Amino acid sequence: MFPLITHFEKLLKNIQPPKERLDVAQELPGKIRNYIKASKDFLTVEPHTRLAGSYAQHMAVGDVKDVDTLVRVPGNPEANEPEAKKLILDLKKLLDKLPESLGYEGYAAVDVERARRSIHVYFKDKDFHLDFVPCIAPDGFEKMLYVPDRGFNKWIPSHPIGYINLLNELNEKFDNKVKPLGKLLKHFRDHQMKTRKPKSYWLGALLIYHIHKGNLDMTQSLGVLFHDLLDAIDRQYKHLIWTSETATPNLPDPMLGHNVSWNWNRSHFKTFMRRIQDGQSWADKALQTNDRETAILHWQKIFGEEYFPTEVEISASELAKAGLPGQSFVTSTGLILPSQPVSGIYTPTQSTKFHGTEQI
Amino acid sequence: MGLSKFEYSQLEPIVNLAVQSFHILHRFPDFIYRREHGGAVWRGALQPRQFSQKYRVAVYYKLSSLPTVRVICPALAPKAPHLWKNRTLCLYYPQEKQWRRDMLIATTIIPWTALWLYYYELWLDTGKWLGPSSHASDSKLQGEKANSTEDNVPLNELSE
Repeated sequence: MFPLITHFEKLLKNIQPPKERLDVAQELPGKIRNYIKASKDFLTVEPHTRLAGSYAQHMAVGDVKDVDTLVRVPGNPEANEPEAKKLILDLKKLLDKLPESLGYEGYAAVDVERARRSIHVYFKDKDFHLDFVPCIAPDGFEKMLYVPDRGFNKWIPSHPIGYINLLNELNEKFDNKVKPLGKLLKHFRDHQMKTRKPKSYWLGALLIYHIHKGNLDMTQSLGVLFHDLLDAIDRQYKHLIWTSETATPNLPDPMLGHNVSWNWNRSHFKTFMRRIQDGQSWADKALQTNDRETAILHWQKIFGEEYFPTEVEISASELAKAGLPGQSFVTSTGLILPSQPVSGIYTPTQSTKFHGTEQI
Repeated sequence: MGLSKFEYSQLEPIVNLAVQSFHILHRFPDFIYRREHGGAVWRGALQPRQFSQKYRVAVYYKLSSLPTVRVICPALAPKAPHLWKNRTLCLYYPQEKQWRRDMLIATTIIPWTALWLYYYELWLDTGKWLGPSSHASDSKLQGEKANSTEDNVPLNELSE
């Protein structure tokens, strides 16, 4: 079996959002917070704003253009105070001038196409936009909070930062493999599906579900984990295809438990399952073959040959230099690092030459 | 009359098994120590890169011989380089750098094992062994026919 670790590292680099977008996601939140905080007409509560969504999760892949921000407002969600409909218009009014304050041209608009609970801020000549979701957070962003429902008729519970924290915890627990695996699943969706895509949050919920259920052996390599995740999703839902003509998954929210995929269109779900089965089959072949080139070709079918590299000679040579005995370090789990880690138990490696003839 | 080879070897400083084990378990806490068939065995998992799998390895050591290392699982590729004929890892070339009994396994053998796995994965990715290599042609290596000598015989009769 060829785990193709260097290829997967390169793949993950290739599906990163453009650098300028990452820079925007890093730079803008502070400026936005100051702008919103300074408003006398639109009241907000400390700490006023919080980056959310895929950039905050560090799970963004590809050309993700929306940078999501939560805006904390005072209120009583049970009494629908402030009235969500009115609040969203007030927020739009405030954000209309945001592009100008940031030194851009642009405008704000209520999102009527997607979840209908946010304000989009568009910038002229820029291919990203900001997405603002007002929220009532009685106990702060870290706890359950309330966001407007579809149509802004009431406030409903949500736990976006809890979800981010859960991802962080799982990622740390499982040797930093969880988020990369989530990125691979999102990229797989984007590469295989131009339309009818399941939401990123659903994919994240699927990933967390299978980790919690113990369906993934997290000690495996990333390629094996990806195969096993597709396999687990297929086994979880394929009966819905055969036993009913209308059924769609009841996918539990990782934080609040309710069905997050209640509006998954049946035909969209069926398309997704076909892609999952194709991907699972190709991944199976990639892992079973004894020929490296064949394995690479199958992974390229899954992720695209522009993303999954054919050759990794240069990267491998750099890694070889970085790991040189006598210069590198090894952690308590066996991880080879080119420099001394900032924390944890580690051992400097001593020089050696591996013995024997090369077999090429 | 000089000392015999055996007597001379008894004069060398030796790190005993308890001290070896103390350092291994401190530096690699997931390893487990057992006494088996008069020798010591440390078993544990090493993951050389972030996206690698964990490799289960066993380090065998008797004070009368040299430590040897075997990958328990997964099975290594049939043509993997830098293996002895008995599938233990070639971590150093004894004629260039002899491992001595005053050395700590925790700071030599196990880090070299992690490095071996690191370069093994690069070999799987590229078909080339990119780690430092003695390039020595040794008849005891994988694919050759000579028998192993006492120095490199692993305690492979021990159960894994």
